[in-house]
Amino acid sequence: MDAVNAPTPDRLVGRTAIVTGAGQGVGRGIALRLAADGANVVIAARRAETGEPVAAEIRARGGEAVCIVTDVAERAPIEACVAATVERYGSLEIVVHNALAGAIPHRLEDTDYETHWDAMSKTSAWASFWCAQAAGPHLLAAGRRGRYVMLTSPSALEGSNNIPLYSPAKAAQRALAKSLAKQWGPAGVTVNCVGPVAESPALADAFAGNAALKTAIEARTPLRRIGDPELDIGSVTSFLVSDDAGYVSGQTIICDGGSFLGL
Amino acid sequence: MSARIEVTGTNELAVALRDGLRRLGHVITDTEELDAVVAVHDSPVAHASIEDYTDDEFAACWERPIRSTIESFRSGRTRGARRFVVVTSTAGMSGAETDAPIAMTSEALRSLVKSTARQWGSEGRTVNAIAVDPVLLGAEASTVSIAPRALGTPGTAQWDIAPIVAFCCSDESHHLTGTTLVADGGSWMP
Repeated sequence: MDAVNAPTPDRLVGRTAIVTGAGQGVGRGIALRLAADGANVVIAARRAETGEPVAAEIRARGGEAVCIVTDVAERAPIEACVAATVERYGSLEIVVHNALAGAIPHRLEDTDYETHWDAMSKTSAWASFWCAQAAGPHLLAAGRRGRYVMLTSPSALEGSNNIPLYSPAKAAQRALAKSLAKQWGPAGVTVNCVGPVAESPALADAFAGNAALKTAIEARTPLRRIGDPELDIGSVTSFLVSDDAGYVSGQTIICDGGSFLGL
Repeated sequence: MSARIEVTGTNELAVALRDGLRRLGHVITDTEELDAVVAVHDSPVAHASIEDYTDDEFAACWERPIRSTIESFRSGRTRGARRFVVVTSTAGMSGAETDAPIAMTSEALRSLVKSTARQWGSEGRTVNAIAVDPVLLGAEASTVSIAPRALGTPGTAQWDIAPIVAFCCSDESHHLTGTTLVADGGSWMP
């Protein structure tokens, strides 16, 4: 591991984090890093087949983790996940909502746009709302340790030609972060967004279908590489949920190697 | 030059914009042939904290306005419209301590504008947003916690906002797309 991205093992000791969509990709990378930095981590994955191995990997590294199968497209599983987390660990200080479904290329005039929209709206905006309602009382009880992070996208700011309904679904999270930052700030709770570009199964599928895409993305990225979920995105997320970022709230941190410079 | 404009939405802002656009000589219509679509952000205002929203209320504030706008874009495209305008507020940019779902919708609409502009730009269609003072969409003045308005007033839809909408519906704005014009009297300065 690159020394500049090395874990800070004592940073999150005594805190419990739920990471949704942690069975793969960016969510997995964030979960690994939060655990390496000392947090108890709940792997909230839709399928046990992907979530359990991540929890096992964390435990094999000496961390604490459990997988709770959670489909964020519905309210009840989110509420159940939060309840089970608090029952197991006694408190909940950190929620990282990363899961998303349905980000498939489409045209806005496609007759089946609702198929794309339903999945993205439910797992992005609705799930962010449900996570806030279910976890809010626990985060507020955690006071200055309370953290809510939502994974958005540079597309929320730039728009997307290929997946046009992806960008509004992700933009909604930025406004929710700002709104909750105002509402929960007096209790010391911070709410932020992270907008990554990193290796993921979705990106791998895109590269498989378009061999030139990876080269094109790397060429337009000032740092000339695509982010690593654990080393590049997990580290920034860990900072945001740590005491070091206690005065950062309502922000969107774009982690894309310097591609988007519009903020 | 008079344009045939469909203005969606049933709230006070939509009604006032129709009046203002008529006063400027445009034809407000819902018939087949269109020059422009103006989709007015129309969410019910609850003045509630996030924990107080039911799923039905969230659907009314989030899901329905977004879907309505998407549908109005799609319908307008098939009817020949070349100018698409979303009128929302600055709440998406600033966040809203109460009415967070309305802020979510506002920011999502601004992003939808960008994506649509990118996708339909090759057809010569332009898509823009106008962000007005949140009080014009029903927010309580006390909850608008950004800087004082440089011009001292949120303005009125008929006299202050309608001319900006008309510009975005005109040929003069043909090279302007994917952007948000903040028309709040100089409060939010991104």
